[in-house]
Amino acid sequence: MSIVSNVPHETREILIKEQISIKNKKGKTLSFSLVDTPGIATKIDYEDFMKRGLKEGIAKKRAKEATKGVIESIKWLDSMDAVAVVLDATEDPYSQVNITIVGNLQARNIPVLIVANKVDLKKAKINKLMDAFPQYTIIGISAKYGTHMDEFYEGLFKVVG
Amino acid sequence: MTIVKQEKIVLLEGQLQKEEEATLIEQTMGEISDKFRGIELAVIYPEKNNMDVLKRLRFDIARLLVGNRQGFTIVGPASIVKRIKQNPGSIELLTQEKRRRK
Repeated sequence: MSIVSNVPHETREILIKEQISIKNKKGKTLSFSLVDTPGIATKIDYEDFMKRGLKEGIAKKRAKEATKGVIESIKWLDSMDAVAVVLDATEDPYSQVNITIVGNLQARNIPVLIVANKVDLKKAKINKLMDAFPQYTIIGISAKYGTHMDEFYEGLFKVVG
Repeated sequence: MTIVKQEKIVLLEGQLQKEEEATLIEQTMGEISDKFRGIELAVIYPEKNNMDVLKRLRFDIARLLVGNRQGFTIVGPASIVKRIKQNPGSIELLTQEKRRRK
C-alpha cells in the first residue's frame, strides 16, 4: 500500500484502505480494513537519511515525521483485530523492537501473523525467525517480487480463524 | 530517560512489562532531536521453558512475592550503544566512541 524506497522510514503516516476482500483456494472470502502503519523503531537519526542522499533539511524533516509515525503506530496497536508483523528476514530477529511489538500484541490477545520479507535474498534466514518466534505462524514472502502471496493470504485466513 | 539523555547506560534489575517497553519507545520518540537520536533497549527474560516443574513453581512464587525482579533491562543512548545483539540467553553490547559534532 505504501511507497517503498531504499531510504528508511518511507512510511511515516498511517494509511487505511477499507473494504478489502481476499479469497482463498476453498472460495472463502475475508473482508477487512487494512491499516498500514509506519515501522516501529527505538532510534531515528537524520544523519542516516543524509547517508542515503537526502539534504540536511529534508533529512531532519523526515526524522521528525518518522518519530510521530512511530508514536501513532504504537497507539494504533490497541485498535487492531489482527496484525501482520512484517520483519526483515535478513536481519537479526532478536531485536528488542520485534520482541516488544510481538509481546505487546500477545499481551493484548491480538492474533499475530509474522511475515518474513526479503526471502528472495541469499542472506535471508527464515529458520532464525522461526527459532525466535516458535509460537507463531511465519510466512516467508518477497514483497519486491510478489512471491508466496497465496501462502500469505492463507496465513491471514488462519490467523483470524 | 533523563539519565540516558546524559549519555549514560542504565542497567535495571528486573524486566519492564511489555506495555512499559512500548511506553518507553513512545517517550523516546517524543524526545528525539538533532542531539538525541534515540535508544537501544534490551530485556533479558529468564527462560521458563528450560526450567523443570519445581524451578518453575519457585520462579512463579518468587515473582508473586517480590515482583518482576527476574532478568534485567539495559537502556542506552543510540549515540553510544552501537548495537545490542541479543540471543535468548545472552546479550552483547557494542559501544562506539561518541561522534563530535560541530
